Amino acid sequence: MTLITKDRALAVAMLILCGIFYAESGNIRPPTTWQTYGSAMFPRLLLGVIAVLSILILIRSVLEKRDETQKLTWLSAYQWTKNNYKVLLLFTLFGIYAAALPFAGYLISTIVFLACAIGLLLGLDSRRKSLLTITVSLTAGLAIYVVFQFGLNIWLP
Amino acid sequence: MAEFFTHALSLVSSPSVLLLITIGVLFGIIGGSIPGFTVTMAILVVFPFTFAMDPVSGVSIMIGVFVGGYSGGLVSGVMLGIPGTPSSITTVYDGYPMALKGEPGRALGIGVLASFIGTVISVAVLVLFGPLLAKFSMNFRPWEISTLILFALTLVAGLSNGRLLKGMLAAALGLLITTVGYDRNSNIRFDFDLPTLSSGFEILPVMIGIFAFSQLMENIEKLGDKDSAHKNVSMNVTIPYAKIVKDIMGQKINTLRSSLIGSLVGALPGTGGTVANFISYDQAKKFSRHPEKFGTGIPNGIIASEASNSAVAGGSFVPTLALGIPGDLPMAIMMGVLILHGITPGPLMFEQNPVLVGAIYASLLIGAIVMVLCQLFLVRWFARIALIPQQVLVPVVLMLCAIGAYALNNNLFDIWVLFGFGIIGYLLWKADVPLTPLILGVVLGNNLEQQLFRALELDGSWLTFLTRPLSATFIVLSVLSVILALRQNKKINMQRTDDGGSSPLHRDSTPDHKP
Amino acid sequence: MKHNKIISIIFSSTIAASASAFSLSAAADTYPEQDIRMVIPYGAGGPTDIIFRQIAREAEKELGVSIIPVNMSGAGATLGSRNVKDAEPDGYTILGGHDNIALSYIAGMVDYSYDAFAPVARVTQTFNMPTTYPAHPVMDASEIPQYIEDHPGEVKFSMIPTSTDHFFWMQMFDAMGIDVADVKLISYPDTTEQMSALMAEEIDFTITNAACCSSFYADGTFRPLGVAHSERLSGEALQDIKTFQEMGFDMESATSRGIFAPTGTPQERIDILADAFETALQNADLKEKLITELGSEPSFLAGQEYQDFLQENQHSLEKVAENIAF
Repeated sequence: MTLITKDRALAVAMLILCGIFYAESGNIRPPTTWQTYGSAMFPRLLLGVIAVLSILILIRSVLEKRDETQKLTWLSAYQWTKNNYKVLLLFTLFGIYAAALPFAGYLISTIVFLACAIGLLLGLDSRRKSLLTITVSLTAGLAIYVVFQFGLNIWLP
Repeated sequence: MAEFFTHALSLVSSPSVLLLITIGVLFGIIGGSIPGFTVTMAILVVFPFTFAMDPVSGVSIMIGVFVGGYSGGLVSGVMLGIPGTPSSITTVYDGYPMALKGEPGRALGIGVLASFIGTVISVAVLVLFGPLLAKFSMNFRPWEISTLILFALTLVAGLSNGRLLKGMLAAALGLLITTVGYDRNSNIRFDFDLPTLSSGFEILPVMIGIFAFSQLMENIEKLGDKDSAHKNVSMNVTIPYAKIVKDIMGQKINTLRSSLIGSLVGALPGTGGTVANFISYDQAKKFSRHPEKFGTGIPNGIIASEASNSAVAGGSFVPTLALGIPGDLPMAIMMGVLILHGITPGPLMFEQNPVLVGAIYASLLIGAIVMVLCQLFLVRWFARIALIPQQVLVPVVLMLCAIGAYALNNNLFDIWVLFGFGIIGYLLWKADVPLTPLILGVVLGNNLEQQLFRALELDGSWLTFLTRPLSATFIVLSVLSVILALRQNKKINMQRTDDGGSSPLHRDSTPDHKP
Repeated sequence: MKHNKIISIIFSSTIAASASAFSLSAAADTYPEQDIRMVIPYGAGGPTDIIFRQIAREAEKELGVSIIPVNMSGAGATLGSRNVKDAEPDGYTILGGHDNIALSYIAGMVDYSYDAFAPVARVTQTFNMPTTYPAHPVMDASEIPQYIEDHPGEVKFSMIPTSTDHFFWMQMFDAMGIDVADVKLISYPDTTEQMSALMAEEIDFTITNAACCSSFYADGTFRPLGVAHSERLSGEALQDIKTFQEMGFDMESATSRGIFAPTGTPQERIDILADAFETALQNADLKEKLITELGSEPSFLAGQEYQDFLQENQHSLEKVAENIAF
């Protein structure tokens, strides 16, 4: 039973990527009279390089012992998530922030995002922390708003 | 000629122009230091304000922004570990560790001084050798440019610190990313039928996404890590002037060499100043007596990077003034300013508008001086960023990156690009893939493809790459670079296995944003 | 990702949504009440950008509000044109475009052409000229066919794919009886690269115009070989250039820059805009600048005449395109 390690996961992911892109490269127009080499040549070249390197990484990870310490199992994944849930939440928050921008506009989205994110990281267990969170969110959000909108004439969503 | 220069100097030294330069420099510094904002955006913002000014003022303020901007990228790199512009990437390698070790003020100071020297030297090169360089650069055609880019990519191998295969993978991936969108033949590629992808990915959201997210998330992870919480590094947020001067004096050759590299690379068509800091850093490492110290936070690395990226400023004026051909985007905009005022840059400019040419030289010099003065003042405050707790800093920086990405093109999609590449960058970092080669690939990919295929279109034979002397030189350099890297690679890996039982690939929290 | 796609910047003191809500409720006779956004689908500092900015600054005075140029380059100018096409037709968003609109359609890059817009006015015509380097044996355009015959398969023409100069060459080959198979077409991303390639004598011929290169003609760095227009150009450096007609070739080609609004914009507003631009173009200083520095003839055309012009323009471009494999 082959173990999944970081390197192997990487290699496999890369190979899948190559597959997808290669399939998509079929949609690129073939060369015409004034194009000596087609548009698909360069990307396919790169895909080839990536594929070869991925296979090499895969082979190396299977052959060499030193990679064994990196195995990913369900247990270690679970543990890692428990320790680093903040990171995942932060990513999600950012995604929501990006999605909210066109709807709620800059000011609201930013302030809410900042408040949630800082609150998440600090842990809102004390009044002082809550106060700090809100202050920073408001200040930063407003400051950037003022600078961009009025100072630079750059329009924010 | 000398009288024109003195006349120009007096024009530029007039209070109003000096004020404009200062505003420009301040703006540039602040713009460059906000990750996601960058020099180019700063120049674009200032551009319209110059319409109402006379040529000398307009050019002066633009140059101020220019000089300030390249210097500002240093701040974000040192304080946050996120390069403010692609040309400050290698500054992070030694600047950030130095800051982490408790000396952010020193790192910033070294960077500023190195930037100043770099700018000054490049102006000297511009003035003395400008036309000569320009003529030489005409020999730099697609074959030379492709092989130079190839050489820069092989430097990647040296930057991968023992993970050669992954480094090359990252570089290839970076190149692949640039193929999305319309290509040189106006054919669409890899858009997966989504119109938003038709213009491809903007470099800046990609770069910031890849570097920033992984760096920031790493900071968060470290917060939870019990070991590093106990490493109470006392932050020295003062500026140790004496030490900084000593650092620079001890690196005279490095500084000079890096500045020259920056000037030359900036003067060459087609490569762009970004490559300068990589080549300079690599050279500094190769010529150093203690190459293994690079990346741990030594002055050499910062000097190499900052001197060269600031020297690009003067260098990129060479083709612009001597030939009338802008070397890169900020130059194109600079030329736009001139054209709008009825002045066409080019060989004629030296005859028709010698005063303006003198004003450009003068502005560069004065801009550099102003930059140092401004930084002297600002750096105190910048250094204090180190004191802000990560829990507050990270979300704010994330927000700034997002807004910066948006403001670039007024395009919400760019924020998603930032996010997407942030995730990709994070995953790659987790998989122990070096990120710098990726960015190098992204920066150079477009150019490489264009130049390579144009070379083949012009002359169908591949042999031409070897028969042209410059091109052949770069190919030889590339090969040497790879061989050297392979040897270095072997050495590092052998050292690792020698280090005994501790899993060699499982490193402690040394961030992988350095070689 | 393209490096020739120059990053854009937005100046807008109005939020488009509220602007449209505003304008819908505002009475038509008080137009314009707010600043107008003029999208330029090219990079800042380029010839199109400069020409439109200059004209806009003059036209602003007539309108009483600012015209704010917004650079939106990308995807061969289609990013910007698409943006205006889909914008609110309230007269507060206009496009500064040229023949590229039709060319992108013909090349299959987009599915719309001039008809997706309500044309406001044509403002300038810039005449393009085949150009070479001083050491080249060809002295004017009439010598090109012979030169190609003497060097079959070796003569290099540079162009930006599917752009106006690409089409220029095809039209010229047609008018001169040159077979595309006898020449080499080398693609470049923008004018600047072509200029440096020409300087380095890497290519034989390129297309330039006075907007980018008048000083180069003057000091001899480039030799213009002919202009595809019925009469000679004015301006010291340009008046010695022979026209194609003089040399026996029947060909007219110019880049016609004009203002476009989204379809559905009320006619009264279009007329107000057109009038403003007409007056702007009558300004002596502006005209002088356009002619001598930017190598463009101010040539105002509006209303039905402009529509007819655009139709003809697209028609003749389509004819040329039949010979180009896209």
